[in-house]
Amino acid sequence: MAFNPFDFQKQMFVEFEKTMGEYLQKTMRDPEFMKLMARGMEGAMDYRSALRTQVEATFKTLNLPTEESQEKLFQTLHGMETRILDLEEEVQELRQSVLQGVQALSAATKALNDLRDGLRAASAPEEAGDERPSPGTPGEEAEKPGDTPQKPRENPKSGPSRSSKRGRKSGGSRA
Amino acid sequence: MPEQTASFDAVAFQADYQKFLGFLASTPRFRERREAVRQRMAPTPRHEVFREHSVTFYRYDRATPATVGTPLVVVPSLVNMPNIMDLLQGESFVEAMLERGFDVFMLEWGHPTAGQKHLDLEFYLRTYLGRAVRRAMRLANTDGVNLAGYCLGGTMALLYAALDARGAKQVKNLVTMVGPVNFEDRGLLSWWAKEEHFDVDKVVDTYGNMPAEFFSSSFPWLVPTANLTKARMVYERHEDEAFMESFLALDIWGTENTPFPGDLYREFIKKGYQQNVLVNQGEWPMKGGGARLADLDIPILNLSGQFDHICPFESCMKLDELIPDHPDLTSKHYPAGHLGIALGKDAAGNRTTLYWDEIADWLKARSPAAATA
Repeated sequence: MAFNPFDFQKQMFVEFEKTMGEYLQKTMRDPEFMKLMARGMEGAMDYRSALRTQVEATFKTLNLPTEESQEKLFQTLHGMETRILDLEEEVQELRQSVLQGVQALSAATKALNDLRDGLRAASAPEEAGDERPSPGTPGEEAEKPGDTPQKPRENPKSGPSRSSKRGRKSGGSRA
Repeated sequence: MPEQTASFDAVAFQADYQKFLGFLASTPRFRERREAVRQRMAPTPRHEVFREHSVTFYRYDRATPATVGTPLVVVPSLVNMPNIMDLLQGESFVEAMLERGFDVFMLEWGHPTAGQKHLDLEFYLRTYLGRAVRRAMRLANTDGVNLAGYCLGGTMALLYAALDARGAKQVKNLVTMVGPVNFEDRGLLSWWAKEEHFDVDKVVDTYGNMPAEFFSSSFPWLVPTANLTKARMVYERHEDEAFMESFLALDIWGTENTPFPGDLYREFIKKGYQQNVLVNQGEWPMKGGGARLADLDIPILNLSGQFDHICPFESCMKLDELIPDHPDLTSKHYPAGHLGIALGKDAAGNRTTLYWDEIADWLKARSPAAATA
């Protein structure tokens, strides 16, 4: 069988990876290992807390801003930022409401204007009728379409007129 | 030409030796390559909508109008950088949803300041996520949003939707991607976080906000030989540019954690990992009224990965048991790892659009079409 050192190395690496993986997975699920890690973390946290307490005390002595004071400052700033964004949203909503109100008002105004125009158009023939010649003016008749033809009146100077098809009101017999 | 003998494969040795030399020659450029990949991460153009404290809300730019009427708000996890949702071109959930016609927004949690140390989950949901939802609705001119949460972001999106169900009802559909619901599972995280192993009060009281190093030093131990595997893969495939691009981007993302807000971390460990409140009580207790799973009545798509070692799939799928009478709950699990659904990759690392297509189709079936101008 042909031998290649690189193949051999690759196989060794893969086997190492597999074995190490299995061992570490098993180790990390071991309760004893977890207890050890928990104690280690606790120790690290205790040390860090002690260090922080010392640093805070030193900063306070030197009248320098501590972590706590900086946190409070950040919280105040964040509160202000949130409030500004809330107000911005409220303004946007108000603007939207006003815009909708204006649009509704505009539509209502237009509808009223349309109604007014319609009413004006409907009352316009009555106004036009006042300008025409009044009934009784000699020789003149109303000629508006649809109008009932006016009966011609007798002219007292010209003698009895031929009776119209409608007849005369006096009812005199014809010659 | 060296002849192959029965005891020594000279040809194969020569090829491997050349490869080894090539690897040695490429190592000085490794850092430069890594930085070049970093510049290409999070490629999808976007603009900031608002910023509040450390949190930034973005809207992704679209070349054409959205075809889906309801905007999509993506909620990433707080543990790592949110650019896992937009890692590289072609490996981006955000890009995929934009291509499929969605108006996409994303809420990035950022690095918490000292002033955010005492903020709890309720603040994060009602203030940050609530404002993001309202702003997305206003910008998209809709009466609701679709929420898509990834990992812990999935859990947060689920809880927000539960709160919203009793309130303004602005969440129309919910997608949870590898979001843990049952925190007591076979995974190592669940084991490490047990009360007898982990005094979270002591840790949070000492650190304040949990430093990024806390996670970057502990997460690799979830797969202890991960660094060995990475070294081997880089050696074997360093000449494959496409592989190295993806590999380096993931390496940058995986090793550059973000700090975690202190009291929020305390709450997740205690109520999630130690008390497992969603399973044991059916709700996540909050000062202003708990987020009850039973209140959820919107369509939910719950996705999990079969090979997920961070949020094991049975932990995500538990949602089916917790709300059995839900009118529209679809649970799916794919042959993928924890990152597969975000990156569009299966467990073998091959690209697939299956997850994104299914998410998009599911959402489109439950969202109105966008109004045409």
